[in-house]
Amino acid sequence: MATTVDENSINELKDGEPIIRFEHVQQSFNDNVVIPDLNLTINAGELFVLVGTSGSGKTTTLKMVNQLQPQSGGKIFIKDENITDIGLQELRWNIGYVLQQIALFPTMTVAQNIAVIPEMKGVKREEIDATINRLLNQVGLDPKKYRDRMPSELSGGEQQRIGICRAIASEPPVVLMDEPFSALDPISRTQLQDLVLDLHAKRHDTIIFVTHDMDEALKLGDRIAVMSEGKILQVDTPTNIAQHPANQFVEAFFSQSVAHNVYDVYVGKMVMMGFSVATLPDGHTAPIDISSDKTLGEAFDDLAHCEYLRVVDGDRQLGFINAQNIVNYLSQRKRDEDENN
Amino acid sequence: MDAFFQTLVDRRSALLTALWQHIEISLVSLLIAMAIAIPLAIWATHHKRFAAFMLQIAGVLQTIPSLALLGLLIPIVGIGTVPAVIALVIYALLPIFQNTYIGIDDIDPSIEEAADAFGMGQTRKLFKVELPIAAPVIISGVRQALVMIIGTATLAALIGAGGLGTFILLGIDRNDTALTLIGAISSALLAIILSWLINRLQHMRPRYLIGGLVVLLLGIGGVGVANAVRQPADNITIAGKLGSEPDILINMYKDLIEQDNKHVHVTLKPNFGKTSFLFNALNHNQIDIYPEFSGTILESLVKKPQSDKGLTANQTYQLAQKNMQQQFKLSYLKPMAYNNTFALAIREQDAKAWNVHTISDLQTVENKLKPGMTLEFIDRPDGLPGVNKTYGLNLKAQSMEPKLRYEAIHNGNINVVDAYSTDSELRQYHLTTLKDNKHFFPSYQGAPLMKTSLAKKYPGVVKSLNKLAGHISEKDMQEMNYEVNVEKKSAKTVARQYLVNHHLLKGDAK
Ligand SMILES: Nc1ncnc2c1ncn2[C@@H]1O[C@H](COP(=O)(O)OP(=O)(O)OP(=O)(O)O)[C@@H](O)[C@H]1O
Ligand SMILES: [Mg+2]
Repeated sequence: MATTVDENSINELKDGEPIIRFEHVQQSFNDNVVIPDLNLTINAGELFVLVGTSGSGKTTTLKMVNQLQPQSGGKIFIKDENITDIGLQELRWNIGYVLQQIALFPTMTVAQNIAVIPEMKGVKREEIDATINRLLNQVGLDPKKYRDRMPSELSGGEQQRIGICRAIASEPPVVLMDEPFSALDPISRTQLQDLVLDLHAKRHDTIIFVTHDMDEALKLGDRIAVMSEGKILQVDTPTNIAQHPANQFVEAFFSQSVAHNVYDVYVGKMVMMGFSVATLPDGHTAPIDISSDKTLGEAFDDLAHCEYLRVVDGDRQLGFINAQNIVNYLSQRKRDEDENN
Repeated sequence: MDAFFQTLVDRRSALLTALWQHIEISLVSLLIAMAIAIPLAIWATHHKRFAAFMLQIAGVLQTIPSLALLGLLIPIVGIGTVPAVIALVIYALLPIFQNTYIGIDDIDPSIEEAADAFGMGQTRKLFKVELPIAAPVIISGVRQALVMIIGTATLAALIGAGGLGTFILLGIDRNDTALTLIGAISSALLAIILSWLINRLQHMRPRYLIGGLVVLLLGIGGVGVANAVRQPADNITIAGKLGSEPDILINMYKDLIEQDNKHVHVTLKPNFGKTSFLFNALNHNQIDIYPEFSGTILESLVKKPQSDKGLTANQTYQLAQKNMQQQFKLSYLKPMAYNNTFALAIREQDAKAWNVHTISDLQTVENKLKPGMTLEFIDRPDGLPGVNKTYGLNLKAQSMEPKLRYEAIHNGNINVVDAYSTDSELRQYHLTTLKDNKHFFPSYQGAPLMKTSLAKKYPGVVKSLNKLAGHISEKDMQEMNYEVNVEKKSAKTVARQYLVNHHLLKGDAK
C-alpha cells in the first residue's frame, strides 16, 4: 500500500535531515498577499517553533503543511516529494494537528476522540484500545477514569491533553501545534509544555509549534523562526536569537515578551540574555544544579542556601547565576518596560 | 362530562380507527418530509445561495392556508389520503429543512477544521461529526413538524382522508360538543405523546433508531397491503355527506346490497364532506354511490334547461333524474318517501287548538303568531319572503340561532319556526310541520346516485337499492335522526332496526 511505503520513508529519515521544505511559497487571499516569499527548511526530529505577532502568518504557514490552505504560489516538499503529488488523505493521516480551540468532537467520548484516526486507517480494535490506554497514561490521565468521559466533563488542560493524544494516536512523523496552550491557565500551560518536551524526547517526531509567546518559544524550541508580516526575520537556536538578534524587531519582540510575573521568567532565558557567568570565580562553589526551564521563583529558593547555582539543560552546562545576576536582569527589564510605556 | 365519557365509550371503535388513520397519515407525511428536507439541507450547507433560496420557497409554501392548499390539490391529485399527505409534507418541509441547515451550519468551525485536518472524507465527517452534533437541533425541527402535522391532519377529514378530524367535523355539524372535544383532545394528546417519543428516540443508539424506523415503516406498509389484499374484487364504496341522516342511509344501502349480492363487499365512508365534494368524488370514481336530494341536484349540480318553480315532488325527481343521465351519465335511482325540505313547524298542542294543518291555515291565526326563524331563512327570497307572498301572509320573524329557536318554541317564547322536515328536534320537542299545500318549497327527495356504467354492471345492486323506494316517511327519518343524535345509538343499529322492522332485511334487529 502506498500509504505505508511513504509513511516508512518519512520515518526512515535520520534526525537532522530535511523533512519539510518551503520554496518561494506565496499565499494570498483575494489579492491580499499575506505571505510574499517563504523559504524555510524544517529538519526531521526537531521541535521547530514559529513565533510572531498576531496576524504575522503563523497559522497560515502551518495550514499549508497539511494543505488546509493550499499555497497560491511556490512549492512545498515533504521529504523530497512535492506536496501536491501526495494524496490529501495520506498527507493528513501522517500529520498530527493540535488546535488552539482544542476542538474535541463533543459527541464522542475521550476514547472515541483518540480513536478517530486509527479507526479510519483500519487499525484493529484491540490495538486501538491498547493505544488509548498507553497514551492516556503518558499524558498523566488514568484510563479507567477518563476513557468514557465526554469532553464537556474535562478541564481545559485535560481536554488539550486529549487533543494531543488524538493528534499522535497513529504515530504521525510530523505534528503541527497551533498555539495549543494559549487558552490555558499558567499552571496547566507549564505542565503541558513539559509534557510536549517529554513526548518529543520519547517519540523523536518533528513538531512545528506556533506561539506568540517568546518565553514558550525559548523553552520549547530546538530552533525558532521569528515571523513578522508574512516574512521570516530570523531562524536560529534560542541562544543565538537571544544573544544575536538579527534586527531591531527581533530584539524588541524578544525583550517585550516577558512573563507577567517576574517569578515565572525561565532561568535559561536569563542565561541566554547574558545575565550569567561562564565560569565560577575562584574560591566559589555551586553545589546546586538548576534546570534551564525552571523559573526565577524556584531559583530564589535555592539561592537562599548558596551563592551560585549551576544552570543545566539536561547534561549540558549553560553557566552559573547568582543573586547579583538576577538583580541586574530585573533592573534591565524595568528599564525596557519604562521605555515601552 | 357524563355525555363526554358516554360518547367516548359508544364510539371507541370509531375512535381507534380514526386514531390509526391519523397516526398513519401523520407519520407517513413526516417520514417523507424528512427524507426530502434532511438530504436537501445537508446539500445546502455546501451551497449557501441555494439554502437562502430554499428557505424562502419553504417559507412561502408555509404561508398558504392549509384549506386553500387542499383545495388546490384536489383538481390535481383528487381527494383522499394522497392530497392530505402532500399538503402535510409541504408544511413539514420548512421546520425540518431549517433546523437541519442551521444545526450543521452552526457547528464550531474549529471542529470542522479538526475533522478536515485528520483526513476525514465528506461522508465520514457528515455521519461521525456533523449529524451527531446537529442531531438535537434537527430533532427539535422534526418535533415541530410533527406537532404541526398532527394538528393540520385534522383537516384531512375534509377531503375524505379520515383521521381524528372526522370527530371534530361531525361534532360541529351535529352541534355535539363531546364529539368535537374527543377529536380535539385525542389529536392534542397524540401530538404530546409522539413528540415525547421522538425526544426519547434522541437518546437511543443509532442502530436501534434505524431498526425502530424500519419496523414502523413495515408496520404501516403491512397494514396498507393487508387492507388492499383483503378487499375482494367486487368492492363498492358508498359515501355520505356530513350528518346522521346520510350515515343512516348508507348503512341501509350496505345491508341491502350485501344481503342480496354475496360477492359484493361494501365499504362505507360516512361524513365524507359536503355536496360538491362528494359529487366530484363520484365523477372521479373515488366513490361509487352516495345518497343525494332531488332538490339539491336541480339547485346546484345540473344546468337547468327549464324553471323548477312550483313543481311537485315527483316532477322535481323526474327532472333531476333526466338531467343527471344526460349531463353526467349518472343514474339517479328511485327516491324514498320523505321530503327533506324547508318547512314551517308549530307545537302539536297549538295545531290541535287552532286546527291548523297547512301553511294556508296560518291566515286564520295570524294575529296569535310569534315567529322565530334563522337569519338565513328570513333573508333568502325562497325563504320567508316567498312564503309570505305565496300564502298571502305578513309574518315578521325574530332572527335566532338554529339551536336556540327550538328551545325558544319549547319554552313558549315563540310559536312558529322554520325547520328541515326531518330534523330530530321536531320529534324531540313535539312539533308538527305544516303542509306546503301550494308547493312553494322545492322538494328534496333522497335517492342513491351512481355511475350508469356501474348500474349496468351490477343490476343486482340497483335492485337492492330500489327496495327503499317509497319507504321512510318524514316521521321515520325524524325518529331515526333522534335516535342517533339524541339517544346516541349508532347509525348502523338504527338502520338495521328499520330494515328488519319493515321486512326489508332478514334477521333480528341487533
Ligand atoms: N481565510 C482567510 N481569508 C482571508 N484572509 C486571511 C485568511 N486567513 C488568514 N488571513 C489573513 O492572513 C493574515 C495572517 O493570518 P494568520 O491567521 O496566519 O495569522 P497568525 O500569525 O496565525 O495570527 P494569530 O497569532 O492572531 O493567530 C491575517 O492578516 C489574516 O487576516
Ligand atoms: Mg493563528
